[in-house]
Amino acid sequence: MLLTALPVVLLAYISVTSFEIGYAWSDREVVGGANYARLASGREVQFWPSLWLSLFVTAVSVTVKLALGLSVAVVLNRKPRFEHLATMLLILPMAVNPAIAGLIWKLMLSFDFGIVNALLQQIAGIKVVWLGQSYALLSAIIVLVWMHFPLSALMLLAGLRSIDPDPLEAARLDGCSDRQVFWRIVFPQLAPVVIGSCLLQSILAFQSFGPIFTLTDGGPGSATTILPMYVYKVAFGIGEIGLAAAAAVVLVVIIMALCAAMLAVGKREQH
Amino acid sequence: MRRLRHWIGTAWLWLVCAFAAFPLAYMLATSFKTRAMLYEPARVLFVPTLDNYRAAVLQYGLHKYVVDTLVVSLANVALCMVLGTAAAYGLHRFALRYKALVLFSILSARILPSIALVIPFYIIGTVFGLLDTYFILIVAFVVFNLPFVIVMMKSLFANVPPDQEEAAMLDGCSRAGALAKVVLPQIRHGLFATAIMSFMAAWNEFTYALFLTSSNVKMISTAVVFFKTERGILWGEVSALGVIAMIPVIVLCLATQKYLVKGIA
Repeated sequence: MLLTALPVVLLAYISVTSFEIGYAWSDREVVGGANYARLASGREVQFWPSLWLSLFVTAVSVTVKLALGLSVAVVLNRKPRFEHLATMLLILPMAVNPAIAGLIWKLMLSFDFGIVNALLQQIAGIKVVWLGQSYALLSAIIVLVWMHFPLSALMLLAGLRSIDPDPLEAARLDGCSDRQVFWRIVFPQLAPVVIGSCLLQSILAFQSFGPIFTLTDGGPGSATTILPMYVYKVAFGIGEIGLAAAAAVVLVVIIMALCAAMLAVGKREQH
Repeated sequence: MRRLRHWIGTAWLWLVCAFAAFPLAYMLATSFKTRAMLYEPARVLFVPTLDNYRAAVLQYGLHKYVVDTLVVSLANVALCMVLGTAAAYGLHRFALRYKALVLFSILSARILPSIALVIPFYIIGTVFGLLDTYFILIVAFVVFNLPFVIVMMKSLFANVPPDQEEAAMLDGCSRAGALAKVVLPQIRHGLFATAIMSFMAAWNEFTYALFLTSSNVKMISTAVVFFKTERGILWGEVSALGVIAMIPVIVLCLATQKYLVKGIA
């Protein structure tokens, strides 16, 4: 417990100092809430946009991940042929290093020699500047979805498998359509798993760093500078560790809140 | 009608599977292509070359990255398993005050953003001159992996009935003896799976590795970042490195698929 609490406490302490890279640690001054005031005031022009962008990226990517995961889980639940092979293929993205995930997609989405543009040109005769100003955010979301949707699919599949099939059969015999059975009987029972998966995915999406770092490095400009990228830029780009720590504390607080919500849902489910 | 929907569902499933697997297949293919072939991305048939792998080893010292990553990951697993087992056993068997709070702080540490926690580690590294050493990286990895091991081990311990252990202790075993001889053998599968999962997490960790190491300790997950040259990114070499970095993880992942799925459920 001490081991895990120590870095957090140290981070909180750094966030109220003026420490910068290039200065001795002993030169730091305790500046109280000054770093937080700077962030809140909007003088650090990238802070608020990065926070909103993070929320946006999280909301969109989690929605897509859950929809994709649920659709796959429903089909897998019917025990299709080669189910084992399908699960194996689905698990693959989960095994990939985040930095490499960003790089593979950077290669695939490259304007000149990316496979995606090559295929698009064959089919529709167009080429898209995937990593340019207008589409970089979409590309980042695609990568995040690719990395994490299998986790949702497996969680939801496990949820579906734990539902008692007898009432479903009974409802069907009583003349309910498949759609009615799913949305009226299956989905309400699945809701806790959906919520849990949603919160877990939010936690993962909100703190994504590796894939964005290698895919776009937060750019072009600040088009994909989500909060973790902002922390990185301020800490290791500009070197203002104290200010970055304050932004990092904001990030930690949001993640903790999501984590607490997840535990609360889990607990309610047990009762 | 139902048949049609069934068919559409199956087609959708395989489409999504293709989406999941394609990027990796593409990277595998790229790793066997020459630089000139990069400009024909859609070409399926080509004579594979091992040049990229050769360059990755000879010019960029890939083996050094593999060895260092193995050292750090294995040290991390060993430490986490020993500390984690002891901590989880304590949490499980002994009445502890504020158990929920302890569990919460442990769990939250696992999912705290690494980009935030790397800052204090960076400071510790600077102040004590520990940057770019195995030591600081192993400590950082233990901090992020230990909580996971504790939670997993705790759920495994919950499945072992306490009376067997008590019987062993009545027969003259110490508590540690009972743990080692009676409890651990029963949960060896779960134990093994937990060790493998924390190995994979360490092997793939990126943020700590990027900011806490540079020229002395070389982690495979950050190696890809250094393949940016004045000629742009060396895609062939990067792909070769990516393939090598992924092989152990995929092998372990497929080998423990059953446990992974169970662990998620």
